[in-house]
Amino acid sequence: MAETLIAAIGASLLLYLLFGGADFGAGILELVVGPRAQPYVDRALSPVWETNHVWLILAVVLTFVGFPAAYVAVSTYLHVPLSLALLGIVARGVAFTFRHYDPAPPSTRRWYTRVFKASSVLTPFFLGVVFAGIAEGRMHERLEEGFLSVFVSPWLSPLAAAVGLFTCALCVFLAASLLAAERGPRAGGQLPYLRVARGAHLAAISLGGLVFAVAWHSHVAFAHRFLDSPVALGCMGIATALIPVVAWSFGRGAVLWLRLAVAAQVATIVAGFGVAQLPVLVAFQAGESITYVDAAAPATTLRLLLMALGTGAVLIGPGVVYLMRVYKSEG
Amino acid sequence: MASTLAFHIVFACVGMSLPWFMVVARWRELVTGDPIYARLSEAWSKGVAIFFAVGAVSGTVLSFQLGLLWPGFMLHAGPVIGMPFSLEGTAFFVEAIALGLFLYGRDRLRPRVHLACGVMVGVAGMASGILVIAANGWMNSPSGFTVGPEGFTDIDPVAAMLNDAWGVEALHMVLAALASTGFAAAGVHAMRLRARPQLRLHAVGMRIALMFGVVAALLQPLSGDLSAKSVAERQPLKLAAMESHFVTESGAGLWVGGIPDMKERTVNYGVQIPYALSFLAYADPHAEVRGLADFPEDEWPPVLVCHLAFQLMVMMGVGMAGVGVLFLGLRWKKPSWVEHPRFLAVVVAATPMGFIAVEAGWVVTEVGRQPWIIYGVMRTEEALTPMPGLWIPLAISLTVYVTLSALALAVFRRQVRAVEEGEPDHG
Repeated sequence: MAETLIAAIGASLLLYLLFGGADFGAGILELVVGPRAQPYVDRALSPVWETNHVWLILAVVLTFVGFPAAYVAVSTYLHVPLSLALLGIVARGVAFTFRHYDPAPPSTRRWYTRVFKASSVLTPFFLGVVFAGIAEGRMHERLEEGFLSVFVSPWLSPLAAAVGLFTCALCVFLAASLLAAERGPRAGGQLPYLRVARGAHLAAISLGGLVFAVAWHSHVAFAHRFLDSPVALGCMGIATALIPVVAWSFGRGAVLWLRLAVAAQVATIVAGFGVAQLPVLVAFQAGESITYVDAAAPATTLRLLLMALGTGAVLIGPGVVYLMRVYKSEG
Repeated sequence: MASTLAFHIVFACVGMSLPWFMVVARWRELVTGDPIYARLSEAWSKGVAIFFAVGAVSGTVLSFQLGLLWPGFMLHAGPVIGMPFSLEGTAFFVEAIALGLFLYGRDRLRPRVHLACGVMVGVAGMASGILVIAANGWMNSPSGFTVGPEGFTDIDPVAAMLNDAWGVEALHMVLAALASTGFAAAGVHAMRLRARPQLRLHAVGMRIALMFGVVAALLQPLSGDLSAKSVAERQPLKLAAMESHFVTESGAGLWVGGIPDMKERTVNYGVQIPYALSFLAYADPHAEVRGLADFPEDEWPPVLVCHLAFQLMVMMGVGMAGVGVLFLGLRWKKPSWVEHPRFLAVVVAATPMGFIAVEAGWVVTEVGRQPWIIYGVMRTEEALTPMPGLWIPLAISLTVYVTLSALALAVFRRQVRAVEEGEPDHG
């Protein structure tokens, strides 16, 4: 049962990365491309964004109900980057909503846009930092060593910075692939994002490499587990094999293929990391860790949680499909 | 945490109530064919969208803050009381989808389907609120587990969710949400109507919103009575603190107003209604009501805060019920006076009453439970994060929320203006 729940948490994080990530990436894109991107960004985001943080909430709720010890460890020792990411989520969400709905004078709207762009970079960066902190194994429980050692050093590392940047690049890449469809080649002219998207693709690939290099260099146990796991390596192999497919779809403007390939790439990357990390949920110093078996809530709770999840999926799945159909029906 | 919750509760109230206003307006539009209802429903649905978005964001923050600030609580409580949270997630999802359909489907869906989507938004919004209250009810009336040396065992999430406090608390909160949002929305419409009496939109809007607010405000005393009886049975100490009732006695009196004097253990400057407390708490004027002195002093909640917050909540409730009686009376006898400037002034004055009552009531239930975070099981200090320098994140979140509230208010004003711009001068 715990395994099913882990899969559900993984799936919900993946969906958050795909949808929420595209959303963050759109903000970063606007930062890179400039104001002419704004109408496309607004159009592409407005129906989706109301639902996208829900994936994060879902993952968080499943974690604190199903694996409370892991949730508590993360929120205690990674308090600082989590709070910074949250601050980013608040600022971003509010700035975007207000920009969309507030009939404000241009000077105010420019402020919304600035906040929107800045927080679009900071939020995924710090979320990446949090995930690096969970995997890297720098946390410890010796409270007497003081604030810096307990609450800062677990996430202040080259690896965390690399993962943060990698997350941002993934987001831009996702957003560019999504937005490419908003204005297909038939609409005339070169897509403003095509160049950026290629750039983001390259950046994501090289930053992914950097993450591995840093992890290897700082002797993170995670990197070794990754290379020892055939499944994780297989996932990485698929992600790599998809690179030419993505490049080809960019060149041809084959939007559907592009989206599928991009989603598959991100999914395999996430799956690879997940497989390498398990059974560890949260890594501590000196090889100590919280595994999903240690952290699991009693069986009654897990059973009820899965039942609730199933009910939810039955209600929500068709709803999302219907919403998308109605939204796209405008033609 | 408190600042996030204080902020979130306002959004939650609006999120539970405003969709219903928008649905009623849309329904009136379908029944009467009067385009003014279409415009009203559209204006309100924009409000719903803004509040939903900001509420979703502050909800995301809350789901993390539980762990950021109260890891001790979450470690033990998560498996027990996580159930309503996961169901709430479902309700939230459904609400998001239905709202998306309502916002983007006005001209694309058949009117009945569109209306049904609006109803779904309202039902799901209400359900989320009620489910979250289950968690708060559990903190007041913990059930569904046994405390042993190894933490909480024999966990039964269903029993935890169906705790004794849930029903009364949820009823009280639903009515409070409707009353506060109804009065606030009616107040805004009344204010604009005073400035521009020719705008029919505001007159229609005020009537619908006020109707919701008034019905809820008139029902609220009944639910308050149920809550009082439930608290008297489960948390006699909280009742004693709310009432500044120091000494156990039969035929206890009820203080109206007054400031508790902790040294002398009495209440100054208040008026006491004889036998009223016994009667309200146990439906028997001679029943014995336990006083604070019966309990060890280190388990007392802050009496002054509870007492004042409770008095404030009741005062606001009575005020709203008064406006409600006046409104119903006018509608019945002198319908044209509903738009009389004097009555409008009364409605404007009542704008914040509901939300003041909500915040005060929340203070009563939270502060009244101190020093416990889980009543009788876990003390608040045991649950707090070990991180030092907590005032920094607290100061930051307070600043953020004050700024956000100011911004939201400004946006709201501009929205109202923008809606008015599009209105014909005589509808």
